[in-house]
Parts: sequence; structure tokens; C-alpha cells
Amino acid sequence: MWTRRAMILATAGTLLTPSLALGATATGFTLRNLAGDKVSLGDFEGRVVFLSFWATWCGPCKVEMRHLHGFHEELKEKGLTMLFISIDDARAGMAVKQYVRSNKYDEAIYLLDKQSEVVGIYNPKKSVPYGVLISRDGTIAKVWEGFNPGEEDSVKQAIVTELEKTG
Amino acid sequence: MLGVWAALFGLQPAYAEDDDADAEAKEPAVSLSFTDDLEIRLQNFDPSPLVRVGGPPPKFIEEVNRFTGRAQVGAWGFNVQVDQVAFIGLPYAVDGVVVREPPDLLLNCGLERCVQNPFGDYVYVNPEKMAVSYATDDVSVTVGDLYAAFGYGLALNVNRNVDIDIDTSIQGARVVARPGDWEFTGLAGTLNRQQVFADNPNFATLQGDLRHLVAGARAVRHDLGPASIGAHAVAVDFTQTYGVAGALEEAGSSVDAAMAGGTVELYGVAGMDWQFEGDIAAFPLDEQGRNILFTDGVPEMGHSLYGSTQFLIGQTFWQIDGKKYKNFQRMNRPLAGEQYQIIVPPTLEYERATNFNTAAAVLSDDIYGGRVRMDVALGSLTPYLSAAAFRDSDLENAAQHAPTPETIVMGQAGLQVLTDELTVLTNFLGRVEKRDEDFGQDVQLYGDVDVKFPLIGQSHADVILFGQHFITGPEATVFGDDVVPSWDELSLSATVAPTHDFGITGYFDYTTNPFANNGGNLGNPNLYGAAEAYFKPTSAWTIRAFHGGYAAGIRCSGGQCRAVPAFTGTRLAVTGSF
Repeated sequence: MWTRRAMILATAGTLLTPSLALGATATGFTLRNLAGDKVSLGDFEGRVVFLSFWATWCGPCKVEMRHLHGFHEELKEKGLTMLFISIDDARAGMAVKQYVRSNKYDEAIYLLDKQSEVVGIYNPKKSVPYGVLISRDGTIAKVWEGFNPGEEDSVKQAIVTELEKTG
Repeated sequence: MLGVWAALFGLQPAYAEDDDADAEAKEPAVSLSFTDDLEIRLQNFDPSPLVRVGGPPPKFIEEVNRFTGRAQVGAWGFNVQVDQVAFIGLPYAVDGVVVREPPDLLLNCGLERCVQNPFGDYVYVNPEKMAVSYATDDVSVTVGDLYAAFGYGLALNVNRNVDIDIDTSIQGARVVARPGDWEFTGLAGTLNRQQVFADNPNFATLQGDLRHLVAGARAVRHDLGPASIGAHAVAVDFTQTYGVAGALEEAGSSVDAAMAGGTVELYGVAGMDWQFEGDIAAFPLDEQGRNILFTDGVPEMGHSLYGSTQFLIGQTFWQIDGKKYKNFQRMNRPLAGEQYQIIVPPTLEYERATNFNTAAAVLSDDIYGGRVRMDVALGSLTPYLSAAAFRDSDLENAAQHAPTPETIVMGQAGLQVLTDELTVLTNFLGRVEKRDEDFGQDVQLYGDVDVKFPLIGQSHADVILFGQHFITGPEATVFGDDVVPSWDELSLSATVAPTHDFGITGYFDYTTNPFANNGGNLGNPNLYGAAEAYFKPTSAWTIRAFHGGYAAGIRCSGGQCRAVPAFTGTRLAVTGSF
């Protein structure tokens, strides 16, 4: 029951908007991807970046991620970069890799945040799924907490709006 | 609120305009964000029948509030979490203990963060997770509450586990530097357990933490050809005195446990990725540490080994893992009663299926074994198969009910379906724990299914079903002098959400598990039922109302387990960001 409640409530959370964070400059960070390569937010200067915080145990995350991968595939040539940051703990590298490979999500960038450095900056409550849309100018454009089926349309619209601003 | 924060940090709460041509001349961008989670529980009876014996069931009201705030000024960040809980009505029960007198919430606070308040002893306020951080691409410095993990968590893994609401941090300082292909981490501090739990009736032990001391360092060299190689060391000094005073007492003493180890990661070698970690532990104990760690009075060295490899064959993705842990979980023994752990190694278990009878293997101090898993990519369908075997010889584990070592064998299968219209996530597990000698075996058959599908217009439905049948052998599971009988559990939840802003969920539990059963709330001792509704009056706020009951259980996630007490009553929760 408790487990089910957690899952249901995770699904129920939708589009919370901590508006005071919007417009602020996104804080830089560096993490390692699943191949061990260093990836910095600064590597994507001038592009629209979507930070997706997720966990291998999070059902709503998996539903949302399928849509996000579709958006990435469709919009990457227009300047969209997706960074998927696992909030799983230090043991998760293999579980993340298993999920990414078995779903053929290799095109996107998956990052491990073993010491909660980045989640502590962008998502200290450690909610999942949790999305942060960063504009081409490096400022935070929009934040999402939770995911309900059907909300992917508004997420995509926000991404497209940012891509069109200076694209 | 803005003004307060601005005054506190000496900042201008204004964001520089984007059209400023000279970025260097910009005022520092100030970002402030806050969230608040409020829950009021009207508890109708004792949440933990396993502890309470006799007496009328207590009724009480518990109000819990968690406020989190964060300010970001350029590379600087400031975090705070303020937890508050109030109890109304006596007698009330906290973690199974009936309390008939007002709690002495300020007991043993010492120099800690207990805040005197105008509401007397019924209200507890605690500034919980506070940190100042400075982060750039290559350096991050954190002072205050922080999380830390080395390698795969065999020697250090202190993290916030949101899945089961356990949030232990290290209160101290951490520096991470990434010059070139190197990465260095150094940290020191005391353990800081979160005192207030958002999803659980709160403890009688709100009086503070046992502030065990932790220090560690790790260096990693990346991009050595296809390899990354790391080395680390961790020292722990346990205390039995609450509060900062305990930490100060221990600061001058010898460490109780010292761990050292290394990691090797290989990428694309022979078409496969490889990860290895090996650690050893020594226990240069003082008398106090010896009493805590070695109940059998025989100090030993410990070792911990873990390896994993992954590879693709056609449409299949394979993962093979192996582990051997000996005398390492004992590092968590002083912490077990406080609901946190300092090391959390890979378990290789399907933790969602873990129950009171099988939790011992997750926390075993003497175990080895391995697992093979194969996932198949078939477009929107992703089935998997998994098989594992372990040998568990830890008989001192508090969760262990078996009188002899045991061999554990399990098989697992599952399926993920993700389409535009339909989501299905399902897992099935068969697990056998075979005791040595003539003590029989336990058999667990488990399944879970989560199905989401659209209804009419914006509406959608979500149905989640869990079930398990647990068969105990003739002398297999001994708890005290009692043989635990076989038992069954079934849990169903069904949500209908007419819009994105509103939904109703019905819950149903059936259990004959003697560890979990609390007497039911539907007129049958094995049945529980509840209903919940959520409503979002604005995009930033959610209101949830729950009424009914659910059974107790154990919940394992992220390598940690937590007993979740039963509940019958009403809950009202308000969550929002501003």
C-alpha cells in the first residue's frame, strides 16, 4: 500500500512552478556520462538544454522519458540537448546503463550524480521526475515537477518556444 | 520573504537584464525557490501492533511540515530545510510506543538544533539540512549538510533516499576538484539523520542524533585508455552519546573502523563494459567501538568485493554481477536503530519484493553470489529475464530468522510496454531460501503490475496490483519460539483522473502476513481499504485527502530497508512551491 501510494502520488504531482527561480542563470556543473566521459553544462552554450532528473525505480519517469526521447530525436538539429541525470545512489551506474541500453536510449546523454552535487543545486527536494528547461542564453526558462500522461504536449510546446526564441 | 533572504545574504533580489552586453558586468543573478509540504494525520489506532501489547488503541493527531528553501547567487548556493512536527491528543503512538505523557522533545539536544518554541513540548522544530556551496565546472565546495559516495557504495554511501524517506547527510565539509582527467574528493563531518519523516509516524527519538564521525578521501584517474581507476579510504568513529557532545568526545579517540579500497572501470574492452570494486576493513577499536561492532567479541578484518559487466548481443542486453561481503554490513549496526546506513553496497535483489521474511539477505554481513540479467529490445516492448543465487551465512543479523546458513535461488521475469496509449510495467519473481541441515525452505512467489491507459478526453486511469504468496517450510522460519505460517498478500490501487488537476484513487489490501497484519479496517482482520483524492487549485499547489487504512510492511529501496507501520485514519496533505 505504502509503495502504491508513493507511486500514485508521484504521478499526481504536476507542473509545479517555482517561479522565483525562473530567469536566473543556470549554475554550471560537470558530471560523468555512462562511458566515463566528462560532460559539463557549459559544453552546450547557445543550445536549449533540458535537464531531466529521474530514477530507475520511478515509473512516471519512464513514461515521461519515452516522450522526451522523441522530442530529442525530433528537435536536436534545431538546438535541443537533453541531459538525463539519475538521482539513484552510487550503486546505480549499472542499473542506469541497463535501462538505457535495453530501451535504445543511447543517443541521449545520461549522467550519474553519485554525490548529489547537481541534484542539490537544481532539485534539492530530489523529486522525480523533475525537469529544468534552460534557454539558449543560459537562464532557467521553466521547471516541471511530476508527470501525468497527456502533459507531454505542454512540455514539448515549452521546448519549441525556447528553440524559436533566438534560433 | 524575499526581503528577508536578501537581507540575510546581503543581496539585491533582482535579476540582471539579459540585454546587458558585458556579461562580466552583470549583477549576480539571484534565484530563490521554496517548497512546503504539510500533512495532518488523524490516526485512529496504534500504527505498530508488533510492539504494542495491551491497552486501548491510542488516537492522536500528528501534523508534519517540511519547508525547503534554496538561494542561488552565481556559483554560490544556500540550502535549508526546516522540519516541524506537532502531536495533539494523548495517548499517541510513535513508532509503536504508546506515549501517555507529553514528550520531552528537547531531551538531550545539547548544542544541537532543537529550537524552543511558544507551543510547549508538543511541537518540535528543527532546521534540518543546511548547506552553503560553491560550484563551478571543475570545483565544488560544500559546507554544511552534504551527501557522499565512493565507488559503488561498498565503503561509503550516504545519500538521501527519497523512495523511503530516509535522509541521512554528513554535516561537515566536502571538496571535489576535477583538474584534467583527475577527480579528487575529500570530506569530513558527523552523520546527521533526518528526524522528521513525511510518510511515517515520527519517532520518540526526536531528541537528536548519535553524531558518528566520518572522514574520507578518494582520487580517480579517468581516461587511462579505456579505463578509470580510483582509490579511496574512509574512517569512522562511533559514539554512544547524543548530540555534538558525543562527536567531541570521540574526536580525540582512535577510529573504530577504517576502510580502504579501489575501483576499476573498463569501457568497451572486448565489447563489454566492466566495473570492479574491492575494499578491506580494519577495526582498531576502542572499547566502546568493540561493544558496538562485535557482539561476539571477536574482532576480524572485513572485505567487500563487487564486479559487474554489461554487453550487447544482437537485440539483447546482458548484465552479469557478482558480490562477496564479509564483516562490512556491521558498519551499519550502530546506525540500524536510527534508520540509516553508512555503507550501501549493491544487493542484486529485486528490492520491491523484499518482505519481513527475506530482508535479512539485503542486510547480510556474510554473503556471496551473483546474478545474470538479459533485457530484450523489441521496439515498444522490453521483456527481461533474470536469475540469481546467493549463499547467506550471517546468523547475527537482526533481520535473520533462520537458525542455519542458507542458499538463496531466484528467477525473475518482467515486461515494459511503452506506447502512446498504453504503459505497462510488470515484474514476477520466484525465490527459494533453502536452509542447511533439516530446517526446510521458504518459497516466495511475487508479482506486480502497473498499467496506465487513457480514458475519455483528458482523463486517464492507473491500476497497480501487487501480490505474493509466501510458503514457509516445516521448520523454516523461526521467530522467537514461533514458527511463522505461510501467508498471502494482495494490494490493489486504481486511480481515475478526469483531468490533469483532479483524481481519485481507491486502495485495497488483503494480508495474512503475521508480521504485517494489524487487524484490518473493513470488519475483517485481513482487509484494509482506503480512498484518496487529489486536487490542484493552482499549477503550483496540490491538495490530497486520504481516508481509510493500510497494512504494515517492510519497504526496501536503494539498498536500505524500512519498516512501514500500518495506518488507519485520515490524512490531509498540502504541497506547494513558491
